[in-house]
Amino acid sequence: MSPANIVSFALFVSYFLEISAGPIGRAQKFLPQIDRKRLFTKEQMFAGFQLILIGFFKKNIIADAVAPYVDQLYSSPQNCMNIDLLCGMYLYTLQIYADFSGYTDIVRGISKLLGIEIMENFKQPYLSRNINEFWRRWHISLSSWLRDYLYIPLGGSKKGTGRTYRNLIITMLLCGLWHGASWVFVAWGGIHAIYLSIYRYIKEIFKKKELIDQTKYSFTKSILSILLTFHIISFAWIFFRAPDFTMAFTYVYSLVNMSNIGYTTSLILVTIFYMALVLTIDYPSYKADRELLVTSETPWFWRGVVYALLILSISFIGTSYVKPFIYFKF
Amino acid sequence: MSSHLYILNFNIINKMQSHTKVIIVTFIILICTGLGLSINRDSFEKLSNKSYATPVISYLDLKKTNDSKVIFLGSSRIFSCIKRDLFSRLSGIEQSKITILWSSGAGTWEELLFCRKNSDLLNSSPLVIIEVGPWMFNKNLFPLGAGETAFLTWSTFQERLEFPNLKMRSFLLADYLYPISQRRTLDEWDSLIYALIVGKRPKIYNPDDVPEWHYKQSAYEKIAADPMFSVRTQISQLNHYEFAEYKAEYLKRLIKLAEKKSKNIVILQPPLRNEYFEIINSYPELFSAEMSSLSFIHSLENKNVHSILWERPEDCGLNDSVFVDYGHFNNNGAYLFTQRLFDKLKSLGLIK
Repeated sequence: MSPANIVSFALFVSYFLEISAGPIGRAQKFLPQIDRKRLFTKEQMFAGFQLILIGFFKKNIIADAVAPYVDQLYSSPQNCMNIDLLCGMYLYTLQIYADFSGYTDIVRGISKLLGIEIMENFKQPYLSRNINEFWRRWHISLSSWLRDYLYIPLGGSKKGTGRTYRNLIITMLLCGLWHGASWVFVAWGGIHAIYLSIYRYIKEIFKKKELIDQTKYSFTKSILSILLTFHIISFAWIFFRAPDFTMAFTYVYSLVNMSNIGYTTSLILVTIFYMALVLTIDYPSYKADRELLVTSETPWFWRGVVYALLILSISFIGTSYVKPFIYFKF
Repeated sequence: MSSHLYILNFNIINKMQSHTKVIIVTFIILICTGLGLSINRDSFEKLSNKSYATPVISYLDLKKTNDSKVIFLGSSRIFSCIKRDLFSRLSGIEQSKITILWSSGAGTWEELLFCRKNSDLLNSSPLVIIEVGPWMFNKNLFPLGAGETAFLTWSTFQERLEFPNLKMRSFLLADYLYPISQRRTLDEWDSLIYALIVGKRPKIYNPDDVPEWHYKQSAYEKIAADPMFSVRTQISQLNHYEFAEYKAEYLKRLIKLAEKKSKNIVILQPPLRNEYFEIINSYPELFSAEMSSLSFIHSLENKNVHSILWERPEDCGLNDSVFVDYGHFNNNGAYLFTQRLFDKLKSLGLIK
């Protein structure tokens, strides 16, 4: 790669769309786009607008709508019944995803309209079948940055089993710490380090004993794997959301305390509804392995319907409980 | 196919680029949904009662005939100061023929709206009494009375077009075509759809209902502890006072509407607590605000339009003990005031 022009480089480091909350851009991808002539195509325009609409949909219709439930449950978990806390755990899982990926979609959409492609940061992470896959789909710009600038320089997986686990743990602890100078973030990173280590360990055993073919997932196995992965990720988010350890442990204790059994029907319905909504947004892209809900291959009538539904939802469904983007504080 | 039906020829659609078709489909759906919501905003509001004025509108819609002999229009202040039973005894008019239409925080636009929503309202009634207060003409006091919701639901295109603030006017006009004001939370949509399906309607206005605060002991105690609290709150509505021509225009239109039916109209300002005037008189800008509204009301007087503008309670032979707060009357105060108002109306020859 030839040395960058100083103006292009200055634009790269100060690119307004990436500067506040990412995605974390890479010079090798960004600079060539600045230097070459950018063409504005209809496809680009439609894709950009679609991403913006999806982003607003995720933020307004999902993240901001579930936020009041989450805030209430996390403010005094000791007073809540455990099924409600379980719903709170799921709802925060949805909130942080809808909030952050919504932000990223808006940013990417605007950038697309300006003729600059920003890397995809989320690829339906809650449909991952294992924790490794989750980290390939969640905050991709950060996880790939950590892999390239921390995990691999530490030796990666090339210097023996012990060093691999050590590198994994260091990387994930620092990933947690990257989110803020608080022990709960370190704990969150630590939990993910444990998940990744266990996954790696089990995978090694299975590989050695040739118990299963890692590359093939039957339908049932896929569903079960997705459910298991979703639950362990949701559990880890408790530590990410709680303001301190006391609150995090109170939440976990109240969640598993069997003398605290009880539920609120409306909260369960709300949780199911928003889970279904996230699935509706994510599944078509997951199935077709693409970033957009509809593309130029989709029949024009359905494309029109999808655009209209997104605009109508954003226009007519809202909440008075508007919160700033969660990742703005990181 | 003949040339004038060319638009119906599907070849025209086939010839379009797919992007154009997508845009057309999107716009058709948006326009149809927007129009649907715009047309139904009245029904939606009546099912959700977001505005204080809505119960009255629902009441007026259901009230097919009107045989009122006296109509009082205004805010909670007009409700608090009139006792229908006493007015009925004094005037000999049946209680059911004395109509008080009020909503919390109502301004001149709401008063006009009540009359516009039921054209029969003014037909039978020889006397219309309209409550006013100086704050009702403050340009820098949105709401237009009880709040934006009522205005966004029932205002005419003309009223939106006349709105003085450019930013707000643009919003109001855009909202007329694409009713962004119909934005609700999913919970609210859920309740609305449920109400539409089940046909469950919220409670509508009942002229005989007495709001809890009218008899609330705690309100008296609060006043006793700090009589200036509510006075200060009310006076804050005069802050940055600028006389609103458009709000004055609503009152003029209401009077014109009533005059067309040869009605006697009384513009009434029930008295306010003495502390209110102590503050008003000590600040020149508040004093001039008060004066500009009074001089406007005087300018409306003619042979059919009378004004009874009482400022202090002593102006009608009462004292501060009649109030719950800055200007709402307590139960005894309401009886005393009704008597005074009746006497005044009689002396003006408006009632026998």
